[in-house]
Amino acid sequence: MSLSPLSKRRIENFRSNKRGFYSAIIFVFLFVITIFAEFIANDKPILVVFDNKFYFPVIEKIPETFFGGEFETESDYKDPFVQKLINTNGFFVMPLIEYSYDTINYDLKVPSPSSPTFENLLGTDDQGRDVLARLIYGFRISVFFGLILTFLSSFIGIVIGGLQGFYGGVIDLYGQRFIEIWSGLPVLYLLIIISSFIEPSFWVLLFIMLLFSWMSLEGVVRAEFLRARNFEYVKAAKALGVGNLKIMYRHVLPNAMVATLTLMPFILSGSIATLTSLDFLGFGLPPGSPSLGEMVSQGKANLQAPWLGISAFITLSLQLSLLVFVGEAVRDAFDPRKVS
Amino acid sequence: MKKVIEIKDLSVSFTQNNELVKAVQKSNFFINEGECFSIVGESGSGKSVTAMSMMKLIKESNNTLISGHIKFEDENLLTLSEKKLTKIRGKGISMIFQEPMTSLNPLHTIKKQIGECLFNLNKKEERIVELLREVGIENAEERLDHFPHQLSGGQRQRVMIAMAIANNPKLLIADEPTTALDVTIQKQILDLLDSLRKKFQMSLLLITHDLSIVKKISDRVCVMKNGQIVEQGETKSLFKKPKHPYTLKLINSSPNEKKFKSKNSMIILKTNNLNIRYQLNSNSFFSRKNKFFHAVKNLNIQLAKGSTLGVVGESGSGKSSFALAMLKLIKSEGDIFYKNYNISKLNDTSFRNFRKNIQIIFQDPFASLSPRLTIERIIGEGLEVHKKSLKKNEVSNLILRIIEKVGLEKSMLNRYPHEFSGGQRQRIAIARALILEPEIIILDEPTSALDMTVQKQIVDLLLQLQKDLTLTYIFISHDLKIVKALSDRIVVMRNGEVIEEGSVKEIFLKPKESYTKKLMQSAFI
Repeated sequence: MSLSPLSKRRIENFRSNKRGFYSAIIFVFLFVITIFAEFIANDKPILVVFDNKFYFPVIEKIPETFFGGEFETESDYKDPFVQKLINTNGFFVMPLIEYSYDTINYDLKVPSPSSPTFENLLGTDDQGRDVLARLIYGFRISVFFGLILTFLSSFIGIVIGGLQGFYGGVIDLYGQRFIEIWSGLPVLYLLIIISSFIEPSFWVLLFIMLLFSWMSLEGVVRAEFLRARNFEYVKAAKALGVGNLKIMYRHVLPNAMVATLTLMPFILSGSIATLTSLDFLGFGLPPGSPSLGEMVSQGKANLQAPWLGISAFITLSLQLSLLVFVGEAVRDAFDPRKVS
Repeated sequence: MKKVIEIKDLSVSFTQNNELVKAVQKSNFFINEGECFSIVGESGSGKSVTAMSMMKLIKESNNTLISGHIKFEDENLLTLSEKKLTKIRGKGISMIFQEPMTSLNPLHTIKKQIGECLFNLNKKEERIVELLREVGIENAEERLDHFPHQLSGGQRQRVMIAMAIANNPKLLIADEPTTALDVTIQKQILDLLDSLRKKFQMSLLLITHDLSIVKKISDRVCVMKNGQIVEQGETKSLFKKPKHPYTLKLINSSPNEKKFKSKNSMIILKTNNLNIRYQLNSNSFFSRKNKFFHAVKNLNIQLAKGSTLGVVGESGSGKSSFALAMLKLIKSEGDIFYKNYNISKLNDTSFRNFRKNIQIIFQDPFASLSPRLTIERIIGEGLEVHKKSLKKNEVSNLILRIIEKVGLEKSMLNRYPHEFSGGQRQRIAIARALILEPEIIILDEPTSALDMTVQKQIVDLLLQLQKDLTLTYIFISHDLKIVKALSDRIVVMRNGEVIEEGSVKEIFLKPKESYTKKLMQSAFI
């Protein structure tokens, strides 16, 4: 792959911001691990060898009767009876953490929430579910939520802001009035009202938040486009006969990119924080979902069990700081004063 | 004669991106009482840095090194404490800056700004009025409560001068005091500075790149290049017998005049009652009372193929609006004929086919090239629109040919605009326009952002290209010398109207209108 000298310099610049570079490595590492959360924290074995054949319970459902049990439901691999059945005719490999986010540990010696043990490294929450497993799944869901929301709202914000700024005039005038009214709507109340009608799933929450989060970028992009459309090289491109869309994309958008990238990490961490706070209040993801916000609220409700609050806090702050550091490095990389 | 200030072995150097930049190297000069001393040089020659360090506006720091002696009233300014320096600044030495638009605080009235420089004075207001009269501002009493935006550029510069002379300084430093002003106003400001110098027995240090100014008012001059003084002496003898080759080059940098004439008499561009109006803000949201600013009124021009039409006028005269209207970048009323086509009636899409025939080169080569594209892409952009059928290697061949034509090297193609000097950038802009093989090129002050010697090169290039390719130019400028060098016919504009039109000879030798006469006088001092 051949890179333009500018991209090369940008990558170099990104690397030279040590904090951002290492944050990116750590973040990507964590993100990749959590993408494969099912293979790391699960109550099903990664691999079952039975009758000299390989089975992957993580991706396929195997009824208990298959192994010679009694129920036709999916096997409960934590059940010593099932384990014994498999071991008679083969063996199985459990993941590193033998709990999924919704697995309840019924073998607790103490009432839940139980403190950290070798079985549950970060203890269990008030329903006896493994904290570490829930953190891993919660991390994944919040990062996905943040990334998708940031990407979509940036896209919408750039398109609308760009059109407004570039064409100006009536489009800009009415666009601005609309945004003024739209931004006046109370998002939190809207979410509370909607969540009493329908159960807010991941995508519903994303959609509602998207309705409002695009505005944070729109203003900056509009301003950059307004400024840049009067640049002489934009005029020169017009004089050459280059089409409006191409001018916007090639000559004006790069000017707006720096401002956009400056805001992006904040949108990303902002949307993760919003999701967390909604979960904390109980208006977020459906009950039972692994979410960092729910973990924080459990920590608040169970002050006698500090491992809940502390692990949620560390995960959240680590996640948000990493993202902001990466964002800063990306911004530096695109900064024309530093690149040129 | 007594020396007011004496500079010995002054060196200033900065560290930029780990590189040592020697802005001034071992400069020696002095200024006598009551004389006008000039420092001439191109941009980056260190003349402004010299002036700044004389006021000690540049301070020593980690990346700035200053050494040498600046002797003013038996004291070395470079070692003087900040407290003592404030007493010298404004009182002993004061300074006028280049840009009158930004050197006054827009939030304060004239009275307050001039009053700021006056200490312990009972009759402050009277003194301010007196100063304003001194610098030739009419209705001085009424002006007191005005804000800078209510004054014109020339008036603002006068206010700056009033501030500078408020405490009868011994030395007045004027850093390019007229560069940002129109020609006729340039002359007024220079006359003012000269008369004030004589009246108050001040010394004047004039920093400029314009040799004609130096020739007119300065007694002695020094020429700077790359931070070094290459030559200094009496103005007259220096102009008569320049010793250093660089001085000679500067003196001879007025452009060669156009010698060839196009024999073609086909009218290629014509306007018929061209009007350009800008809508001013309507005050209320509901009622639309349209107020207009008439930028160009009833303009009629004709342009023969291969000829150059010079458009002359001060800022605000509508020259640039006219240029943009020709390219349909702004709305206009009236007809514009390209050959036999009335292009004023075409919409954007149908005009796109004509765009390759009419191209523009802008004033500021730093702003007219997209900083994020390589030179190759900048030059090739027009081809993407107008010659889509070309193959990749044909495009690069064309780009190579054009870049040679404008005097650049092919190794530059993969670089970005910021790596080039102003003159090179302007060549790139010319290449971008030329690659479409246009018939008409509109040149909107293409040389005014460039140094004198570079101006000459660009003008020579433009002339050569016109000869080779039978190009037709519309040359817009306020610099009459360059207009004279390039044009066949000249249009003089003022407040949106053409007040005089004629061949170069007619306009320059026998101007009819008094305004044209004034313009000519101030241009060729």
